[in-house]
Amino acid sequence: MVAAALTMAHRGFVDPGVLDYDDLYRAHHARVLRVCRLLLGDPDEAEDVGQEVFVKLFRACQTPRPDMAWGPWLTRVAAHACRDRRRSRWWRRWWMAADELDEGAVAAPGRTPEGEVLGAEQRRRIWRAFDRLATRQREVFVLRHVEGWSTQDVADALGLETGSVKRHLFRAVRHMRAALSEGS
Amino acid sequence: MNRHLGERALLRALEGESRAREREHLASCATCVGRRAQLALELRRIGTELREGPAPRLIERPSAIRWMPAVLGAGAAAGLLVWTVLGRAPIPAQVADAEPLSLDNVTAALFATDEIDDVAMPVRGSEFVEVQAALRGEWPCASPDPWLDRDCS
Repeated sequence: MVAAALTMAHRGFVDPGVLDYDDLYRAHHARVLRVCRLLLGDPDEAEDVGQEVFVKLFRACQTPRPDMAWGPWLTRVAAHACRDRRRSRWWRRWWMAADELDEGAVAAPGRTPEGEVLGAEQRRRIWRAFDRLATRQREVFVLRHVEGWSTQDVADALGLETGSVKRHLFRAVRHMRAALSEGS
Repeated sequence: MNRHLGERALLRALEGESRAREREHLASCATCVGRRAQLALELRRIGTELREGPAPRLIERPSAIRWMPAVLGAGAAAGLLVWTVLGRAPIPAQVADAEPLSLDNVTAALFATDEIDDVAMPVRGSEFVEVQAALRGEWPCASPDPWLDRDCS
């Protein structure tokens, strides 16, 4: 029971005793920024949206909510903010095509043993394939396989039916696997 | 029947949402168990890379597919404009300022006979009589052949 609670806390589902804005910021800032970066594909835009998200957190913290699961709340707010940002910048995305990766960044070594297994070429394929995912597929894939949410949680956060989440997830997985197996 | 599970069924198995038949198949098929394990491994690696790997900066450039039609369209529009403006012959000033002609003006100009005497007509001597008669609306009677002058008064 304790182990399960700790796991949940680690994933951000429960913030035991954490209601202070500064603590929440320290606990979730990097993760939220990462989610924004994944959903937007642009570090500068991700930084902007991340700030918007934490402004909303600051306002939300003004009201005491002892039972609030701030981790999922932040992720949900970030996902919606990223979606709004993508909509407002549709023209740029239509006009521009991200067809190259910054090679230096891709070639950097992974931080975990599992990450070390992937070669630079595979990393490049993963990022390129991820960048080509449709917006909804990207959101679903990030929340399910990066954040580790359940299908039901993803559906609740994005306001979708679970069947729809599964369809998006399947397409995203097939696309990502196809990219990963290219040339192997 | 021992058909292997498809990718969708394997993903369902990974999510713990397999159907009864798929569970039975997995219980007896080492190949599909291996494929499920491979799928799990790949998804874990992808998730790890996206979560922990150094996110590369994507280099964005204007997409040729997007800007090429726009450029071609703009070029065509500019060409049409140039052709319209420069391709038209210039209109002389006096013509441009003149009142517009009507059909009555044209008819009167064509068939006016008032000033016929002022016009120097290069008429040969042998045809002079016929021309003068025609302008008066008469028939010439000076022909040497009387059979041709029956209508002469």
